[in-house]
Amino acid sequence: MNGSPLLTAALILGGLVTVSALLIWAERRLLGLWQDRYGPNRAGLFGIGHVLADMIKIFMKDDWIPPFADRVVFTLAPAIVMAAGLLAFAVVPLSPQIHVAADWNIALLFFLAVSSLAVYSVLLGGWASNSKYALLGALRASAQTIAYEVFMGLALMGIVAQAGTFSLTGIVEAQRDLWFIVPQLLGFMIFLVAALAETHRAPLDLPEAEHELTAGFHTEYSGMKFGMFFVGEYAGVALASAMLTTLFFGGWLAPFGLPEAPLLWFALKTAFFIVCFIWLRAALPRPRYDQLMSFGWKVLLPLSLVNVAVTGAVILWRS
Amino acid sequence: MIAETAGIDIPTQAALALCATLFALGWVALLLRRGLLFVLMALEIMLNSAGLAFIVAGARWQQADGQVLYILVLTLAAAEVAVGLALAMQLARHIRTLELPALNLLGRPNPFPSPAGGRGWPERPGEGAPQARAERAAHSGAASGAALSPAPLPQAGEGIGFERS
Amino acid sequence: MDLLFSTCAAIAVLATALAISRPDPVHALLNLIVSLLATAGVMFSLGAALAAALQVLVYAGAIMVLFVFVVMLLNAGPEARERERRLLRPRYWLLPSAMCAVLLAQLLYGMATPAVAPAAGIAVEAKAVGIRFYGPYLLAVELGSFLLLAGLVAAWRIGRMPERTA
Repeated sequence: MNGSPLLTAALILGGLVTVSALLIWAERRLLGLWQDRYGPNRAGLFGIGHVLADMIKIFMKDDWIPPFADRVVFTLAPAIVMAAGLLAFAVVPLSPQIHVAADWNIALLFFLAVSSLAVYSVLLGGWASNSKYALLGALRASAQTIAYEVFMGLALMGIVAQAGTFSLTGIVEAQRDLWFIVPQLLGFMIFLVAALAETHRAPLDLPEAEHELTAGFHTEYSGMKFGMFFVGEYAGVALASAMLTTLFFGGWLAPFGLPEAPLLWFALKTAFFIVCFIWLRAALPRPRYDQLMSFGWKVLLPLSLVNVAVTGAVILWRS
Repeated sequence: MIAETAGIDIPTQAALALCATLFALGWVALLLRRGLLFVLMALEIMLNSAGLAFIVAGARWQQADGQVLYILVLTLAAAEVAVGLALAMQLARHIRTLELPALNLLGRPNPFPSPAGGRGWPERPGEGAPQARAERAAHSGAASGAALSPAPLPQAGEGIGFERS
Repeated sequence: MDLLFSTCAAIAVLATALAISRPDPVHALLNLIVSLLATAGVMFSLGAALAAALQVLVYAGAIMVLFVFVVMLLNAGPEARERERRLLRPRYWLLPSAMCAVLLAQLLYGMATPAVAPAAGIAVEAKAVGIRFYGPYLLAVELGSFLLLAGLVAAWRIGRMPERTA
């Protein structure tokens, strides 16, 4: 690790928050593009000044807590989503040198553990708001997250078996010959759906489905508390994209024998997946909630078990 | 880098003392609280402290068995919570309270009929019951000796009065 | 003593004490979650990184979420909270606490008597745990899976029971 770990951590965190804020603008522009309209294009070059303007606006807003809310929990909830999203980045290897703890021998488990804690923000935010739409959103979010977390972990066990380690640096190194997307295609698809559900992104954003639940769990939030939920969601998108890159697409490794440029390749691949997330939102409609749950338990869970079993069998047969 | 922080200077006694303290706290809660959810929480605290004791022993002897047993404790806790919470849901649905003393009245039909239009749970499980039973008996026509005779089973659609919302 | 261990141990005890004394179930659960996370820190400081990760992943991330879910679903009103608060007056908790203090004193005394060497300095790797699991503990794994299946079936059945079965 070059330099002090604290400096690396600070740089990654600063970069991540900036990227998350920029993503809000990127998403609005891209959605505009795909929906044949302009999107925010007034302030600054390509409208990038909208990020700054939005941030100033949201910081200046009255930080209001509803009188019927549980004050402590209400304030705590948005902090949890930010903390969990940022903490999980500690184990993402941006390059062989630039990471905080990616070579830790339980790095992948740490990622799963921390991302499983993010659900508390939704759950507690919805409960503390003390309003029925928020509570309904929170209940949906918790059931959805528990369900999809199960096979999010299971889908990754094929990779762990193939790489023989939980360390993310080790997993990237194991992909030098062949990216895991080829042998673990099924695992990739399951993980993609699970990551969509975990980050509550459209089309699986049932906890905040605006046509049924106003704004779901953050109905009562405004000002910077709402902003933290918002930025936290984009940090989650960035995290999911970075994990997809690291686990299935060779992380910082260069594709097709192109010259090595670790950080650049990692950033490009991650950006590709972030755009995919936005594209999915533009393209797909929402399923019904019961469809979402039964698809998870009755289709994805058996598939991920099959994936683990087949991967194990192949590994045993080869050795 | 991180894996070296393996507690070379943690006395085993200190770690075990932590387990014992957590266990005792869980036991206090088990004795003290009467809400079913709190009792389940107390059981979780005690199970968790037992699991921690396994880990401490495993770390003391540098054996993996401690963590193996911890994981088994974890599965036990998961199964226990799943069944316990399902039972809690049924309790809330049938007798409309999560107070464990209310289960003294097992076998009698719903001793706490809900007052009209509210989710009002009785002030105290022991106090509301006879009066409620008397009311029910009067309601169903069995007027004589209402407070002493066991309450008649309610007819279908009558008496349970738990509104699904 | 190790800084991580002592900090986490202090947080765990404090949060547990708060958890068992809150009248509101959600607040109690929040404190319990903090306590579980601190316990994960203790496990990590003891070199059991796998167990620490599982503690966060399974205990705090799944079991406690289920707990919070059910608490929200049942959503006990203010009168239930009031009843719990009444139970927390000193004349109710003094006797149980005294009994538990006796138990704790006995446990601590029993532990303190023989001199035990300090905890080992080498972390136990996840791989070692896995190998133990699928070697000598294979039967225990099978029993554990039976238990989980039984839990699943029971929760399914009980959770779906119609309003009156008898």
